[in-house]
Amino acid sequence: MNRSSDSRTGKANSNSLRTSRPVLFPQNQSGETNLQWIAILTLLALGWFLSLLWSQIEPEAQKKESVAKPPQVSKSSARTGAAKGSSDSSASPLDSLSEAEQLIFDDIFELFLSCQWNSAMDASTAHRVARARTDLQNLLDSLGPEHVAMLTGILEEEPDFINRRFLLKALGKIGSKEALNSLLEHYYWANSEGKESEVKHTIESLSLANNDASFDILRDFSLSEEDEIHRYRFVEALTQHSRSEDARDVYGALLEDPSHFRVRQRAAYGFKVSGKKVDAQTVESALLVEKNPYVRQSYLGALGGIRDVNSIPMVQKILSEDNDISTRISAVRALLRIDGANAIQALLVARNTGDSSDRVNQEIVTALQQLGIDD
Amino acid sequence: MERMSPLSNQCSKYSRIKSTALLLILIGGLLPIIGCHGSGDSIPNINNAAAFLEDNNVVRGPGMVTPRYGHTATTLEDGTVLITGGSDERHLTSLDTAEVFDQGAAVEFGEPIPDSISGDFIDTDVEGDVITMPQGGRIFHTATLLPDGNVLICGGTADALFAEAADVSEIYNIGSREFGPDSLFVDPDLGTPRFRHSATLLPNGKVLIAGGQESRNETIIDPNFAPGQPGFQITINVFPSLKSMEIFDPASRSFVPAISVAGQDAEFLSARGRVGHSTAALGGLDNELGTTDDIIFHAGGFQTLSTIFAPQFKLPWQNDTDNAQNFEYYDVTTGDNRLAAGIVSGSRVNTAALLNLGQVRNTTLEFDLTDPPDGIIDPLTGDIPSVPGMTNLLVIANGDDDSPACPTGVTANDLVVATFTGFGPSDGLTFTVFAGTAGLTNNIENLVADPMNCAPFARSEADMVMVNTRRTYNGQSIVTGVGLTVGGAYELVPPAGGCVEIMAGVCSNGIQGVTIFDPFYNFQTDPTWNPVPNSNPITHPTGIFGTLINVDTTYADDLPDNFGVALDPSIQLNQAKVLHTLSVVPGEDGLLNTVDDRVVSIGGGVSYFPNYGDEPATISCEIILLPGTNTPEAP
Repeated sequence: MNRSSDSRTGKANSNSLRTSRPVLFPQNQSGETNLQWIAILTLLALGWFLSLLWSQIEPEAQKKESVAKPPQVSKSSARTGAAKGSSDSSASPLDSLSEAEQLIFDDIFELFLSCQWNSAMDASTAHRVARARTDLQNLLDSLGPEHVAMLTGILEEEPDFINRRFLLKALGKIGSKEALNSLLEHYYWANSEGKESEVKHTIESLSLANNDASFDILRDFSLSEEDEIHRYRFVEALTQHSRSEDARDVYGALLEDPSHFRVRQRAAYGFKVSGKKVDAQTVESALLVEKNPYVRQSYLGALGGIRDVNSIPMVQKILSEDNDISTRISAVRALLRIDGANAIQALLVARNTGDSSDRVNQEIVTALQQLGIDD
Repeated sequence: MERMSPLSNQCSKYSRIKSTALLLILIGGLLPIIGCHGSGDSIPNINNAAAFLEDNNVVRGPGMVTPRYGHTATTLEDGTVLITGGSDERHLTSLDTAEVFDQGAAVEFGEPIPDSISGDFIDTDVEGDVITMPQGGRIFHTATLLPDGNVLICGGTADALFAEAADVSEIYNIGSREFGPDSLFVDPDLGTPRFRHSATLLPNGKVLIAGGQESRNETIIDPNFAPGQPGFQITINVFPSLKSMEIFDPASRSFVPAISVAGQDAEFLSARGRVGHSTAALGGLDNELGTTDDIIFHAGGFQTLSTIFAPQFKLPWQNDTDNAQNFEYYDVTTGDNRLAAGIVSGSRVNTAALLNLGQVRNTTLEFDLTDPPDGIIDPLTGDIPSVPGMTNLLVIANGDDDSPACPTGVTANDLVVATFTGFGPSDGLTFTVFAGTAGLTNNIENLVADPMNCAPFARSEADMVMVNTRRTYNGQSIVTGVGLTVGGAYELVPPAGGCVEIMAGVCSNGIQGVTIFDPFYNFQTDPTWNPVPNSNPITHPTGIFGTLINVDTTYADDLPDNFGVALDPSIQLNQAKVLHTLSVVPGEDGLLNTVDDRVVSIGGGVSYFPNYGDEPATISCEIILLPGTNTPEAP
């Protein structure tokens, strides 16, 4: 396959849409990094080097003093060393809360505390935690875009991962650009900490916004090379967006993505839920060269979702020839979904021919029954 | 194959920069600041089989799609592992998703895994949809591999607070990788919805569902209020333990109450049932496992005090419970339950491991003992042709005392031997328990030793599995089974009070380290344990021994009472974790139950007490290869 050589050069077969993260590392038209950026990075490296030297000669007492500096937000306990924001001396949004915001902040803080327990749970603790989780959700659901700065400030300081998830969902539901930016910042932090579970929840929160801004973000990150390792999560979020249909070009570009098989699976799913008949040929072309059985099954699922009768010959061929039992079952399901006389005929042929696997045979019989063919 | 894997330790945005000068700068200074995406740690490319073929090692695998703990892990016929449910939020919520670990086995030694094999976690069904359990998320549920290769998902509950026990079971279809399609609908379902029960595949292909907890609403009277006043009667959720047993028949996909041949309800004999117990099959009179006279052994766990005084939530460490110190067994032939008289051991709950070393009897003991090198069968030197009851050697390890103040690991790991005489009640079935007392002897042979004497060492919420490895006997290389455990937690109460959780361990290898139970090793008389194949002789083939050994990468200091020194590199997890699962998966031959099998640790949380898993571990998959796993046979 050509995919492998493409992966080394960074140019996928059909990834003309793919972009780098525009804010951090813009590239010129040839794809080269700008010389200006080289200079900036050089200076950054020099600065880092000097800071290293400085840290080695910094008096020990001074170090201790800087470490002991209290966090900017007094009520929220500082995160551990692994958390973001705890030692950041820059101004926090929580420093300038209005009176009304301060009240909300206090309520959130109290509910955060009520969601915690520090000894073996007992019945009263269980009831307290359950109530607090409900109340917290209701409170956060009542907030709007004007509270994003406050929520962002809390998110940066909150040490508890479950409490942070409440905040992530709240920001996602609000969905303003500021809220989405806050989620992106959190994504970068979670990514840098290797917190894959938190990355997952953050991207899921991005999809909660379900607006144009979130669509643009999910689209960009689905194609971003810097975020390749989480690309499948962004594509998955994109497939769940109400504008998924507008992302068909993204799915097409990623259908033969070499970075990870799960990206190709998610792109296929995008076609399954949003594809048009005109996309069937794209999926079929990818299916021709794909060897991973799990991805082939996703492609067959996509063809079943698109429901183009012109795909039936290829699906029928896979049903009769593929070595993998589950892939043949996928082909049966695709024919069932495509429906119509030709699909029924293909299934009848398969039934009459018989498959070496009882599971596949049973699947064919079940499909025919669902299509009204019992005998 | 040159496809770049996202799991490889590559930083794509740097690799594409062509400026040599900039590259030097990055290497020298910037890289440590920004790092690669992902964790930045060294993550072997799973699409390279060589990463899985290095003996005596723990290899970091791919990340789960949904990092989790408290899930089930079931090794399927094709060597993949089905992961279902669990939680990623301290059990306050549960996950309704499943994923399949496919390590991309059956690849030639040292060859990269081709595109046609994934080597990762698969989370989609045959139609490309994310695999979900239609009945919702589950914790405290069971997953049982059925004879047809499908998996029964039974019971559980949606959260550790007040959700009711799940009343609908589901069957995972291995062909379509989906749950409960119409053709696999279960009806009737469980008579008593339950969670934290046991589910054991019987020799007849049916599944025994035993004990657990149910969810009930109880009305109680508050004497502080007069009758008729608000508050006089209140309704509370309680989760009492269960005595009842049910049988699932895969042929009819239905549950029926378990009934003995005498027509009686088959149920636990403990006053209020049994919860969170461990289960293992024992061979019956024929000393063979998997035959109709097997018995199912239930050990440990706890019972709740009554319905009204049952716990009103589901996390461990409850006041309203009573730990079981007795053992019971279910006779598959008669459907009777009996208390294993005379067997009392340290009570233990929270994933106490119960392992029948007889599971590998065929591969463990069927080597030629009739022709030792000296030509003489001498039991005193270990040449024993056969020992009755060898299928019934149970190791009971791990777990804790479930104390609400501070759960403390059970330090004495027990060895139980069941023997049949064929006479008297229960065919003369008797049990002998060796509770970790060094020097204890029995009338079969020699002694049992438990050198796990390095302070509290038992692990809470850590599995123990049986895995094959290579050993020698009389100069011949043979395949034997050992028990393997890793990870978990134990607690200590410091002098000042409170409860300090220790995840890293203090006994050199610690909790992160791999510990094996070698049934053939007698630490008091054998030479220093050396796992290098063909150099560590079996001197006592009956296996009525057992030593728990921490596996280091250096062997010379593996003194059983010292576990080496702290600086030794050891075979250990890259991250401490609890509530993870251990599963045996095929090695390079792609076949299960062969010598190159390896163990995969999946999922896990970073803390045990009191947050029961807490945050999901950042390293959610690790593959453990014991010494000698892949060593080629001598020509």
